[in-house]
Amino acid sequence: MGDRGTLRRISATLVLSAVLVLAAGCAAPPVEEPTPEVDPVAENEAALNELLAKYLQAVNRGDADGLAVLYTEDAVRINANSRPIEGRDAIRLFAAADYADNDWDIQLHVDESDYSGNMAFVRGTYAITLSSKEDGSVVYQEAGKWMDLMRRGEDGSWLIAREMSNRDHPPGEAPEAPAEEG
Amino acid sequence: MMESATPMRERPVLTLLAVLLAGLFLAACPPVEEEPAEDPNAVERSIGDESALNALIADYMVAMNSGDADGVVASYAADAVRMPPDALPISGRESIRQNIAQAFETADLNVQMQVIETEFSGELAYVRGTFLLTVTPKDGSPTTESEGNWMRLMRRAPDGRWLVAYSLWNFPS
Repeated sequence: MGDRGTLRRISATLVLSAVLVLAAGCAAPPVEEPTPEVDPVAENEAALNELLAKYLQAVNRGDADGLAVLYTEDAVRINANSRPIEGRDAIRLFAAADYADNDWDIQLHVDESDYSGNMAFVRGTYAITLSSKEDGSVVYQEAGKWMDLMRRGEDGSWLIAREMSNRDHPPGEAPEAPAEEG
Repeated sequence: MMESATPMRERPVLTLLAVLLAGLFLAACPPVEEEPAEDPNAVERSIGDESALNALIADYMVAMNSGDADGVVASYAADAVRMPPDALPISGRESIRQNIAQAFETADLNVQMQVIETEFSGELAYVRGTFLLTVTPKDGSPTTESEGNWMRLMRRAPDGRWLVAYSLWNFPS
């Protein structure tokens, strides 16, 4: 009789344990992960602004390495009046050549951005001024439009995967003088 | 400790109970949700989307090459932005239509577009390619040929159609 009672208690304990295990084991995986509540749009925009700030800093300092690391390894850059430049290393080499003789000043403006999963699409405008490193004189100015495809890396930061731009005016026309308008 | 309290002859009962509970545990757990990539329809959908985008580009070429401004903007979203080289951006399907209609008044265009890559992410798609553009001015000026690159962002409309959200192209020189 005493053995029976022991068995019953053990069985009851086992059943109770099983129920607890079932409740814990089954309920846990489908429940949403306890990630901190972050507004994904604000997070994306903050990451995008961070990338653009680094971009501006790299160009305005003439830092080809700093610019190249903002692109994915397989990035394609198709700038206004240029052949496609493929790969981060090629982007670095071309940027270094760009910055050799002139100081660059670039301004960027974002007009539209879309996020979906680990991809982002952004479009906007730019204005660049190139000044001679020798005497500081302005040697070239251009204003135009750009669109980028960006990818989120494993660390959550965005990198530029595709970039394409074109200018607003043919060469010879002053970019800041759309005379016919106004 | 428990073993000493349980007679040897009753151990099979416990074993059976344990097996039954293990079975119950496995049966009661819902199946693990499959990864989206394992969705057997995902590949088909992707192929369907890709051919839909290719069809849009084919229609776009037909419209461009026959001077059909309505046809050109048929694949543009109402708030689309077109960003041509050496020109300011044009916003809105109606403004884009007028701009293209004006171009057709002065020249016959022939554009051949090739797709290099297409990528989908949710309700967005990105398409990039090259083009060869032939412009034959109606005033008898010489025909010009130029090649370049283009890129588009597409958005899937609520009715499932893909529409151009924005479009940009440039010339290498």
